[in-house]
Amino acid sequence: MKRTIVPFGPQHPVLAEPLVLDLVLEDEKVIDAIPTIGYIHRGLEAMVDRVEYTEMGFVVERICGICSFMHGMGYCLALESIMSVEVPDRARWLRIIWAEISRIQSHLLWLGLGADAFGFENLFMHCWRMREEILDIFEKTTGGRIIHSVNRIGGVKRDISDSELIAIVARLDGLGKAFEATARVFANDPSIRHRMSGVGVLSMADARAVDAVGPMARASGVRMDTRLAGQNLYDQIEFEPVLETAGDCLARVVVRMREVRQSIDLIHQMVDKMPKGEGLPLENKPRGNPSGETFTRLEQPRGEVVYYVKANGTKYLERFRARTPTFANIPAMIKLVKGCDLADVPNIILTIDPCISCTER
Amino acid sequence: MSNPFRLPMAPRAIRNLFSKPATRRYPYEIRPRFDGARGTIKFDVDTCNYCTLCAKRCPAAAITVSREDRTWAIEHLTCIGCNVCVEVCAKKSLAMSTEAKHVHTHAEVGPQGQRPGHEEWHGADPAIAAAAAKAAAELSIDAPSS
Amino acid sequence: MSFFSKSPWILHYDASSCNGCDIEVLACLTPLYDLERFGVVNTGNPKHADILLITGSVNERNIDIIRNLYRQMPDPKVVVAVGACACSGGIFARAYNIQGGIDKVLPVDVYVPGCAARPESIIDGVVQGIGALEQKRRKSA
Repeated sequence: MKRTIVPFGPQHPVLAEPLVLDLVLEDEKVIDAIPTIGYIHRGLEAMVDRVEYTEMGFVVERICGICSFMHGMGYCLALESIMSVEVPDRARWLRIIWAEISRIQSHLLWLGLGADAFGFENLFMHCWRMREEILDIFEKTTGGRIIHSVNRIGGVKRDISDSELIAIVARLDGLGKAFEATARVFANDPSIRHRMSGVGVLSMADARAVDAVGPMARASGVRMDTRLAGQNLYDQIEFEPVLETAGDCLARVVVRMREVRQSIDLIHQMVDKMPKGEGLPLENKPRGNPSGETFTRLEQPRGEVVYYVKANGTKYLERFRARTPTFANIPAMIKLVKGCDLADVPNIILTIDPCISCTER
Repeated sequence: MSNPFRLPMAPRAIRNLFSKPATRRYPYEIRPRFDGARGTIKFDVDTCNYCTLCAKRCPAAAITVSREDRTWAIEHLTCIGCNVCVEVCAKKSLAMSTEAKHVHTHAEVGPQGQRPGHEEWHGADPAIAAAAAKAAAELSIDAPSS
Repeated sequence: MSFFSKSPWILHYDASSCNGCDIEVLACLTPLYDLERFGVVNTGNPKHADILLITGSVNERNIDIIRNLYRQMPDPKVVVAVGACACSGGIFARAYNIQGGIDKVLPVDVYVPGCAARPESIIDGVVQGIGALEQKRRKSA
């Protein structure tokens, strides 16, 4: 049969980002998909020789605008472990509260984009309307809607007062109720079921073989979550990763929906357990220049992210490297795209929650 | 599940019909920004001692300071609003206002070819400058990071 | 600024942006900000578009794509650079693969600063872009 090559991207209506795939088609079936990258490559990791390590945190934050808080936090955690800085307790709790809020934000954003991809624009609007609530919380507490710039090496720059924290929890509860109404639509709507169920199935064995991470792996039943390692105070809260077994597009939607509820529950626990009071210390300034190397792992909304930092005792780091979750999920995406119908390609690409600016940095 | 007459979106749609619109009609209806939201950098030329620490620490290199000419300039188009310059300023000459950055057009190119969004201040008389230079020398000794 | 003779359509392209400004551009289309009040529709086809909304800065790889998209748009056309990266390179101006702001390649009419640019600023920028488009249209007519 005759083969056709259809280019997907870099400018494509379904995805704001320039993901480029050359789809090799036989009739309507996709035989092969060849990704091309580099359209958003900025050379961010190489900026360590131009930007001092104290300011590099702001560059790392801008790896990606969706999980920018987690990137800033990961960089600061890495530097803190190299320089052995003790971070004040309240700052550590505030960090993971913000991290969970940004997970809710990212998942709501994705649920909206996913709904838009399978042609349910109404649901897209509803998800993004809820997301604005989260952005209001962020702007009130950190000063920025998207890029927060509150993480510093040794702590955080701003405090959330105890009364404000209670207000945030109440607001998130209200959001959770509104979210339930939307979640019912995702779960029951026949058109969604028709487009998502049984499409792009990744079995548990395959998920392990291609090293899928995050919600992608959890939707295939792989019990994998960096938070299980208990770092960053996650050992002090009750936590069990959300698992689904079907491994299709619908399962990936369901995992993210359940993670929104789980994050709201985690924030409840965190606010209960954190040290209370006004004027507690938030930042221990590091002394001298860093020397040594370290790996840091974090669970981002899209999966596990790994940072490698090597410092040589000067103001400039020797090497900084980030392995972002979308980069790890691309092999899984290529595997799923092979053999599916052309019309399902946007759906499958979106359900891995691609973040191209993370991937190419 | 396969019943096509099930309309899960219907209750939501009916509620939306009778509730007030979610849209904020922006240019006509402006919500005040939250306290502490980061917007535009404000500079006070009278208190600045031209220690250049803000320019050194700016991750985007948006600030240029000249101790000799006593000028302080910022490119608002390059500024990323990270608040670092405000934090390091010993003289509290810098402040982060909540006012959002202004939109600039191509027509705003300055007389010496300054890009749109360029803002520049010139310091006052040399007696103040001498005192400022002394203070700056003291400050650069305790400056961290080196 | 309240009456426009035409409804301009916008084309959004992400040139090496961190997603922050892209997401804010999308947020402008959602109920809270609703850019479509101004008759603006986000289109994916450069031949249908009057306003090119670019986020992020120019790098080696996408320089041809930006030129190509601009060439395909019908005259008169307006370029709006959204975010610090698109205006001047922003924090990434010093990165090795970044050549600078969009004005290195295209004539930019409106600069929307901010990192990330706020939806309010983007609305301001698009409204000014509509004004610039009207002026160009009158000149060419």
